[in-house]
Amino acid sequence: MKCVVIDITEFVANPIRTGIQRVLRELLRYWPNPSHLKLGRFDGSRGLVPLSDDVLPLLLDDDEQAKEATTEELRGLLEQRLNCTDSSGWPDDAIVLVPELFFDPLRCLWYFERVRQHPMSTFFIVYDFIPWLYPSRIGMNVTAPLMHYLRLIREARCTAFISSQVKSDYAARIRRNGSLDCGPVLPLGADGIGLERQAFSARKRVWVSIGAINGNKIKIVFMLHFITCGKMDLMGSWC
Amino acid sequence: MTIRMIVDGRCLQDPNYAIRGVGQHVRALLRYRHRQPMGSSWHLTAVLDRELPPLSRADEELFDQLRMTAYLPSAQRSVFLSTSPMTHSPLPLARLLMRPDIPRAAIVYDFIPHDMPQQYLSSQKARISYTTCLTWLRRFDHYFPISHYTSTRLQELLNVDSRRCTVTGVSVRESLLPANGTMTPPDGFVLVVGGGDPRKNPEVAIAAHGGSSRLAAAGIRLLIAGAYPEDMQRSLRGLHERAGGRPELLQFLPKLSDEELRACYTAAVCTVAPSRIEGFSIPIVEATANGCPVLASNCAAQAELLDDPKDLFDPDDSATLRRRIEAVALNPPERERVRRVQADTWRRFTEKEVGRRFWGAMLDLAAVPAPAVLRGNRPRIAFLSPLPPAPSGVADYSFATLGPLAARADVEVFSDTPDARVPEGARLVGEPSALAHLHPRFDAVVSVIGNSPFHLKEFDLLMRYGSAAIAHDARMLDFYCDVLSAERASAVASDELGRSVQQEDLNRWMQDPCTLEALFLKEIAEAAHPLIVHSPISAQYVEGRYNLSCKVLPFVPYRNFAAQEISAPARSALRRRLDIPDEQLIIASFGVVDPVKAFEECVWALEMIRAWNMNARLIFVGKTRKALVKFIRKETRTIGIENYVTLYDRELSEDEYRSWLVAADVALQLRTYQLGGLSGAILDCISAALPTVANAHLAEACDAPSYVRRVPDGISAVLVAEAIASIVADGLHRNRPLKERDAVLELRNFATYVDQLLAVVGCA
Repeated sequence: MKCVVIDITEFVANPIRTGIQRVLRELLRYWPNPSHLKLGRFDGSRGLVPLSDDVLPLLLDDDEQAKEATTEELRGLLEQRLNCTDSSGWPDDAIVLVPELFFDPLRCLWYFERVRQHPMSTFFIVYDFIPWLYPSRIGMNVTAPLMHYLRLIREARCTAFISSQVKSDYAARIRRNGSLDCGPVLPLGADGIGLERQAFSARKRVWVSIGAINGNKIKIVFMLHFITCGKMDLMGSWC
Repeated sequence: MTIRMIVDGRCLQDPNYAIRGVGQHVRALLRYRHRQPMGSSWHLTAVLDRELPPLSRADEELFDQLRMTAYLPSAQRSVFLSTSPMTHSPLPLARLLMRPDIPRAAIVYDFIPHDMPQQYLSSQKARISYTTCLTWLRRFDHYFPISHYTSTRLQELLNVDSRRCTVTGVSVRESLLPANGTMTPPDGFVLVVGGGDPRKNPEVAIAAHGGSSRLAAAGIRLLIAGAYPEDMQRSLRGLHERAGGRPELLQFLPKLSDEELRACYTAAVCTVAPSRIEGFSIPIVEATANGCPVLASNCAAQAELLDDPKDLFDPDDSATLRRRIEAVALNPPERERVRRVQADTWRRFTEKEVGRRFWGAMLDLAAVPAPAVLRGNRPRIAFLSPLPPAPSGVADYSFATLGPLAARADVEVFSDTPDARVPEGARLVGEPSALAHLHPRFDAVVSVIGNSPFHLKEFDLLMRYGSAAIAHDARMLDFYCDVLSAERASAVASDELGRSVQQEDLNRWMQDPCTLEALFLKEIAEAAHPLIVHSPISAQYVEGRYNLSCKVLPFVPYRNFAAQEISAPARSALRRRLDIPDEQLIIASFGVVDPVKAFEECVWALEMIRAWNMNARLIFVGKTRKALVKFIRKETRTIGIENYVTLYDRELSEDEYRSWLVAADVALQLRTYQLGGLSGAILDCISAALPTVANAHLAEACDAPSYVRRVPDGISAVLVAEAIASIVADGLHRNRPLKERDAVLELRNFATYVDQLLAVVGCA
């Protein structure tokens, strides 16, 4: 079995509990063969470098200190362990999985070259194309700073999508070749946050709207609707 | 029928006059409008000076409209009232004073500076200013002197016919009229209502009082109301003592309220009005209204108010005055006799009586028919604008306007562009100057304003005199920050946004126009009559933000392309000359390359298009700064499309620019900021029937036809690339939409534009 390296650059640099990071956390938690799993992060001057497994408990909330930590504190704890790189590295035929969305041009260009050289051993999970196809929904003025990533994804040969719609957009509007032979759809699980199954109760009075507050999630519609008729808790961060 | 009256409102703004007699008289006259039956048929517009403090809220309500300039197109008839013609420059209003169709009236207070030049006109500047005002005073059709004395001086000085004068007098403020039935017994003092001005001559009253042992023995005090500086008070106390007066019997009363002043009038044994010269005597009227006997100097304006010569005295004759004060103050029957003789003096000077005289004459003036002159002439227009060869799209647009305009009107052009060119028919007069705004030969004045240094003179003149104004740009940020000053930019933006705008805000807006919040058009909109814009979106902003109206004229393409020039064979031939392969898709973006035109999105759109297997090339048809050239080259090299992007680091010739409009297959015209901004380049594309991709706001602002494909204002290279691909899929890039282009140009051409322009400036 080949070694798989998961690039978690953004996760360790900016652990803010986004939806994408939840996906990543579950990937790491349930990876079927942990002994063949390696972690990596991108370094502008060295490319993808190995990360010590020591960061895993912090990312998976298995560390008591990390569980209660704020984002800043968690970032501090991670930074302490980032210096302990894994000197063993990984074999040349390792597969690289990139389950993050990122816009750093250097990282994009590095992967673009890797895709050119190792198209069948560089994998990507693709989340959506909202910034490029519906920029006004999330208040984007221009998309040029995001285009290196799109160019990379367009070039990739091993991609998986979180929904059929994303896959269809990819085929029809990004690659524009009409072929749906571009990778599987891997729907996200609904058990990521470990809540017990919910049942209707007439006694429940509090509405919760979860997720980042941005134009795409039209929180303002919720707010306007509920502001006069009840209590509403917003759990998320402004972006 | 509504009678429109333009009123010079500056005396109500100017702190030197607003709270003194001039301001109070004007206020009382205007207030009376609403008390007369015909009041609602008048529409009053105040002309104000932006350099002076704003009107108070109460004064604003005297008017139906406020304006910052006096420009009025020829077609609009009004009457004009100058409220204080000798105290403020007549030049901003000179255009009104020279129009034969506008009846003009002036309130005239006095000619005291003329008659006492050493005291009031001691500097050369003051003499020139006063003489200028006096000269312009001749141009009025009717006068409202405040006294017969002033009327007489007016007739003597300016040879004015007495039939053109209506003496109004000045009304007593209602707060100084007697309260019903209250008569306070005399309290043993003599009152002088004066002020710091030497001509008020309190000295004669002080000498008379100080010299009277009888008044002293009776304990009769002398109270002097008015603002006298400390040193002046000291000097007057000295005079009183030297005359033999007891110091405790002389008292100064600065800053009395109306209530306190009225109490003084009702309690005084008499009021002394000792002035050497006056245009009218308010203290006489106020005192008599409150039952207080008056002794007044015999200067003409005072003498005409008091019928009994015994109540008058020579302003230098303290002995006579002393005897008269003693008689009135110490002899109750004499005091009562004087009071009775003077009892009705004030009744001619209530707001009602004064207002009736004023508004009656104004109504007659407004009824004078406009001169029935058969002009038989074409309208005569003064047109102020930069012109070619100034490197400015506005200059080109003005040039294109002037040809058709000169076919319909006599056009005199004022421009400070060196070696300016005008089309045949228009006449280049010289640099922009007040001549354009003030000379009566022009039926309308049109100023062309834009967001560049080329418009400074036009702007300054517009601010001072007003005119019709074509605002080419939807925002004036650069003009205010770079050409005027950061302070003025901050002030104007603070006023527009209703919050304090700091230098950091301006810097941020300059660096990133997407963040711009203010348009900087308010002053222009206030001065212009009308303000003309080319974008309905700009009009919405102006009307929404400033509550000021403006006119929208369509933005007209000024580069024309014959159908033959853009036919498929002609384009093929040109592309061969330019070494463009037939199958290559030429995408062109016209105009100076700048971040606000989203050049990076253009580059990435090309990258996408090429990734979709289209042989495309991108041409930036406009000058690119060297730093940007370097940046774009590096970026395009990195993503592998360097050989498919063409840049110019120099100005392009007209021939080159036109060639690309013909040779290109698709144009890209994008703007990252909104606020109703227009693009001359997009008009060129429309005129050349060149299929174009533009963001929605820009396309709507330019009222673009359907072959300008819209992408969202959040500009995405992917969506831009998709729009280009859809144009190609529809075959528009090969067969230009000439029918739709012709339909657009049928409505949007300079002949139509000029017709509409003449209509909105009142010269249709």
